[in-house]
Amino acid sequence: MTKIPRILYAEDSLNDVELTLAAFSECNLANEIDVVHDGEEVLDYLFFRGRFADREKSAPAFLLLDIKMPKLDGVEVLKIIRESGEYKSLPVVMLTASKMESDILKSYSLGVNGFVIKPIDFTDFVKAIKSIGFFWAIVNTSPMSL
Amino acid sequence: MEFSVVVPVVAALSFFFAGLALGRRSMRIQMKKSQDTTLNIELEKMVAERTAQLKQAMEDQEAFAYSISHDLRSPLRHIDGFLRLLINKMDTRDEVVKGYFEKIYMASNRMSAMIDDLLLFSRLGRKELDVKPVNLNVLVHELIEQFKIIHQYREIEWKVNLLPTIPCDANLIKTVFENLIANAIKYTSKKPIAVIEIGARDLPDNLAEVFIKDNGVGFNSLYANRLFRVFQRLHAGEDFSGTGIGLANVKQIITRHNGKVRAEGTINKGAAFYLTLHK
Ligand SMILES: Nc1ncnc2c1ncn2[C@@H]1O[C@H](COP(=O)(O)OP(=O)(O)OP(=O)(O)O)[C@@H](O)[C@H]1O
Ligand SMILES: [Mg+2]
Repeated sequence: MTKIPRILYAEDSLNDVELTLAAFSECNLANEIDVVHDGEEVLDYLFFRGRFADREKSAPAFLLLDIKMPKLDGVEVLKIIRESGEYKSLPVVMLTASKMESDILKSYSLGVNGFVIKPIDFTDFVKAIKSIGFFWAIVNTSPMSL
Repeated sequence: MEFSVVVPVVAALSFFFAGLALGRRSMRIQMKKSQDTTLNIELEKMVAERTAQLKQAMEDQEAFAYSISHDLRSPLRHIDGFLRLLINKMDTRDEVVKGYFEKIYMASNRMSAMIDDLLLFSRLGRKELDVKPVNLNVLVHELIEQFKIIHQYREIEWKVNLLPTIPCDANLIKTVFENLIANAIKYTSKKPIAVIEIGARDLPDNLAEVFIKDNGVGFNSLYANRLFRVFQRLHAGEDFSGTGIGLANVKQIITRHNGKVRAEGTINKGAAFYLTLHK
C-alpha cells in the first residue's frame, strides 16, 4: 500500500498556523501536516538537514508557503526549490496576507502553482483552505508521486 | 490610524507642490537675470533634488501602503478567525452574548473595509494620469445603464442633458461619476420617486461645469466642505451604509486634473455636486 504523502506548511505566525490547521481539520484530509516557521526550515525539511536530517525520505504532496517570513521569505524559497533538481516540479501554493502585485508576478514567473490571498472573513478563509486541501491533496496527481 | 496614513500622502503632495513652485520660480528668475547662469544651474540642481525627494516619498508611500495591507490585515483576520472558533465553542443562546459577538464581528468587518478604502485612496493618488479626450455623454450613459440593472426595483427618473468632451483620465473620471451617481441613488433611497439630473454648462476661460443633482435627504450646506474628507460622513451608518471614502476619492481625482469640486445641499430637499474641469 502506498503511503499517504504529508503536506508541508510554512508559516511564521502562530495564530495563522492555528487558524489554518483548524480550517484543514474541517476537510477530513488523511494527509498529515508538517509545520515549519521560516524559509530556512523549509529548505532544511526538503533537503533533510538540521532537525530534519533523519526525516523519512519522502516528498510532500504539496507545499503551502507563506510569503512574509523571517530569514528567507517565501519567494526566495520558491526560487531555490525551482532551481533544485529534486523539487523543481513540487506543487507549491503561496498563501499570503496581501495582494501585492509584484509578489504575484514574481511567484508566477518562478513557477508557482497557485497564489491565494488569505481572506479576512474566517468563513471565506476556511473555504479557501478547504479548496486548496481538496485540490492539491486529493484531486491533483503530483509528479513527485511517480 | 487614519492620521498616520494621511501624513505620508500629504508629505508626498507637499514635495510635489514644492517642486512645482520651485520650477515656476526658477523660470521667472531666469528671465530677469538671463546672464546669471550659475544661479540657473543652482536652481536646476534644486529642482532635480526635489524631484528625487518626491520619487523617494512616493516609494516610501508605496511601502507604507504595503505595510497597511499586510500588517494591519493579519491581526484583523486573527480576530475574526478566533471569534468564529469561540462562537462555535460557546453557548450562544444568551442574546446579550450573541449581541456582543455580532458587534465585534461588525467592527472588524468595518475596519477591514476601511483598510481597503485607504489603500484605494492612496493608489488613486499615485496612479499616473493617462489623459485623452473623453466623451462624458458616453461614459455617464454607460454608468447609468449599469446602475439601472443594480437598482431595477427602485423608481428613478433620470434627466441627462448634453455633456462635454473633456481631456482627462477615463478610468479615474469614471470613478468620479460612479461615486457621485452611487451617492445620488443611495441618498434618495427614502424618497418614493428619485429624480437625478446630470448636466453641464460652459464657463469662461475654456472651463466646463458638470453637475449632478438629486432630490434626496440632502445635507446642511454649512458642512459642504467636510464631505470631501477621508471617512467624513454626515449621515449615520444605520440610515445609509458606507465608509465615507467616495467623495474623498472624487476630490483627489478632480484636484489631480487641476479641476475643482463643490457641493450644495438642503436638508430633505436634495444635494448638488459641481465639477469644474478644463476643456
Ligand atoms: N447625494 C448626496 N445627498 C446627501 N448627502 C450626501 C450625498 N452625497 C454624499 N453625501 C454625504 O457626504 C458623505 C460623504 O460621502 P461619501 O461618498 O464620501 O461617503 P459614503 O457615501 O458615506 O460612503 P462610501 O462612498 O465610502 O461608500 C456621506 O456620508 C453623506 O453624508
Ligand atoms: Mg459614497
